[in-house]
Amino acid sequence: MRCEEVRRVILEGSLEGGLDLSEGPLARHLEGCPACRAFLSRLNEVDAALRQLPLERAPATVAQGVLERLPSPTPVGEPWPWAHWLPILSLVVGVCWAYLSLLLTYGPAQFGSFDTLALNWLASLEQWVVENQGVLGAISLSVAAGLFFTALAVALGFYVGRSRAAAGRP
Amino acid sequence: MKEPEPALLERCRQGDSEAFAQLVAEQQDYVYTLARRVLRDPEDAADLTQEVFLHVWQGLPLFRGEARFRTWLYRIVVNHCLNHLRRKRREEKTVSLEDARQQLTMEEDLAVAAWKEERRAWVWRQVERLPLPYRLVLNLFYQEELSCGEIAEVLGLPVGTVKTHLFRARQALAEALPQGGDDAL
Repeated sequence: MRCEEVRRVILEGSLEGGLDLSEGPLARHLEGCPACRAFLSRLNEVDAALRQLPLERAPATVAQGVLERLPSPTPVGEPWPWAHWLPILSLVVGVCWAYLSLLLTYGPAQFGSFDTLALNWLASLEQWVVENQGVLGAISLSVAAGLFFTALAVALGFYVGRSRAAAGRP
Repeated sequence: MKEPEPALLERCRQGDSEAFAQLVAEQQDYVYTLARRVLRDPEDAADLTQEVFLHVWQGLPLFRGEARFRTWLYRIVVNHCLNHLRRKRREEKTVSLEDARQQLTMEEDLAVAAWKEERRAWVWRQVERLPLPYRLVLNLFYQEELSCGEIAEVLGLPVGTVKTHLFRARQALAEALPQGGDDAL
């Protein structure tokens, strides 16, 4: 074994705790190479010193400063209802708004017929919409699309923010 | 650093400031030590330690315990340190490991360093002069006793990179340490 290879084996093996110096090509090389024996000795010394790196004492002002600056924590347990439901609610509103806008634009006939009070009201509303279809259709579709994607963005931003806080990222 | 008691963590999560004071007392030296080794400035390290614990206070309710607490804590410390260095535009001396190795060999009177304690102190001083990635990895591995996998998680690096950093840093220190220690064989 060449010295470079021996040192690589020593560095890797000593770190992983699997260095066998009792026999084999490594032991034979070390027996005949003072330089590599010296390297191993110094490496052992370095490792021993690193394991004894001193622990620094934090100044007394650190703990005092932390406690003085403690803000009120976010209540633990059940999250505030609005914080939990807002993304879902905004998403539902966005989807409903988009559906309603399409309904107003193209008429309920495209989506099947339902004999309900709401649809009767919708039918009368449709009559009014038909008279102003061009302008209303364009506005409603663009508003629906805007609200829909805004809701998605709010939902994503909320959950990404919570994930970053939980992952310890400032 | 020991993992804090689960009961203590739960009390802290519930907003118990006395429990949090106990957590700070138990962990502050470890946080301060890591910050001190990374930032090299005691005042900056003290300020950063406070910021870390304030972040911990806010983030504890969201800490779900998938990772060990100390892994999560060290990730916060490292991120704060790196942000601090960027903010202060304090360029890490872009000393390559090769340059650091040359510096390591030009040292004080090494005859005196034949004493074990002084040689050990020599190693500690040289660790502080290594480039940041090597300094971080050495401290987390030897002082905080994290595994390579945990270090990789804290630093956001592949495990192989962590092992390479450890390999090269130890090699540089061992090659620079002057002859004089006990022969291992």
